[in-house]
Amino acid sequence: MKKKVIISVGVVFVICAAFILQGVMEKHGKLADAVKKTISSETNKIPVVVHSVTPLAAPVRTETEWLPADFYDAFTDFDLVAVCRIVDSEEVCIEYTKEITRKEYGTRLTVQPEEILYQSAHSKEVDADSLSVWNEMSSRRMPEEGALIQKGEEYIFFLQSAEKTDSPLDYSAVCDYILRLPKTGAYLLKKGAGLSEEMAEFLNVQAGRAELSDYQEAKAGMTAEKAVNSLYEGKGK
Amino acid sequence: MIRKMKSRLFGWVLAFVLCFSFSGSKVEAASLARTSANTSVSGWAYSTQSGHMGVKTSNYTFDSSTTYNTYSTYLSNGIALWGTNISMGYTSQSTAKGLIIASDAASDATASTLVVSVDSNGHRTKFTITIYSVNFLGSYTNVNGRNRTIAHEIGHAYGLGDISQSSNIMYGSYSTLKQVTTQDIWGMKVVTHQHNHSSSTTGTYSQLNASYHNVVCSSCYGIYKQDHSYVNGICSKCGRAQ
Repeated sequence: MKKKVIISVGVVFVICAAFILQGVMEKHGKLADAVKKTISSETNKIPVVVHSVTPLAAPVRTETEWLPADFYDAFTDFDLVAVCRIVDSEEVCIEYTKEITRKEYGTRLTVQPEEILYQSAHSKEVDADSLSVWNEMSSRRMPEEGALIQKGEEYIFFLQSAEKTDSPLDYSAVCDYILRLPKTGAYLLKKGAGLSEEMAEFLNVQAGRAELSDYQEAKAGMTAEKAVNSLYEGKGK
Repeated sequence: MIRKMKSRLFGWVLAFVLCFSFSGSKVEAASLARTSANTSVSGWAYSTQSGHMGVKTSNYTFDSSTTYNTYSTYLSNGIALWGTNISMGYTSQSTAKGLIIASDAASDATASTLVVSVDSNGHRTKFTITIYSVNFLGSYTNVNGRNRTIAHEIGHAYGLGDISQSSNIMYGSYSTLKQVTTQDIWGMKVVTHQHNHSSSTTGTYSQLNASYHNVVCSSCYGIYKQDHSYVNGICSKCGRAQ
């Protein structure tokens, strides 16, 4: 009889312990979600944690297959095309969890828009003195033909809103805009510099797609602002 | 709940083991012995990163089970495009030479390759291939193109570099048209030592310096730095005076 009572008490204890344990784990799960929500915005995207890292002394060179530039449509994929002065540059790590915790490295540029060449109709008004821009290159991943973006210099940037990116990660927690086009010297337009053959071809393809009648054909060596202006003249906001 | 915890625990353990395995490896300078790197003379080029594979055989694993489930078919198909010129298989072991990583980052790339370490002979011992999932699986691409992207990255992992000819697999942009050509295969034969250069290599000679001349190998079109063969003070091959 005594034995039966002890066994019954033992069984009840085990069942209660299991319920308590489950409750604790659920509570822990809810707490973890709550913490994540403070980091993420209201989007359905994967929350990210961003922190600053020290650039490596020697850049790590990688070899990359790029999407062709004509993957992009100059009038629907870019939200802002502007001459931007680089005010600051910070190497950052984006951490996110999807089965395992992953880390992405890149550079967050602080830029001052000097001249807006194109702004899409549905993009936000640029009223800030400075914008933050995500550049996928960093000292931890520098494609072999990658061009270095330098502080104080002015470039024509083709930018996509962070909220519009196809990435499932919540880039709105990282930056305002994402720098688009392959990260090679051919597509990095320094203010006042001549166009590369690749960039001239890109602009001509875009003008052809949009059937622009008053477009002046871009040629290699032509001033970058002139060529880009010709594509976007009278378009956008 | 318990199953979910177990799954998470497994994921963390796997990530830890892989990260530990791939960190701290020393990268050492290396090259094919006296062969000029970064030179494309007829449709193929050497990788711009350290070393080359040195053998046909290597293996790879994935950073997670989701990456395995999503990309293993593309890996198999991409490797198959190289035919019998390489032998590369999947292993679940973290000691694999290659780690395939899936990234959700905003990128303009479809994939990229990083050489993590090479041994004292300049042979690659660890590499990673990062697949940028948004672009790789996006509506712009198709199965054939994705297989070709993998073949391209495998070429990098073995020691081949980008080239400008758009019909070759080592062309640097995504394309459904590029394919493994004779030139790509010659490059692969060199970086896997199925074809070697030596003092008996013949081809087209050009003067380089007092010690060597360059010879464009008549078989693979790779450039090899060869010792002068002086006869009566004149190199019998490149014509340089001693």
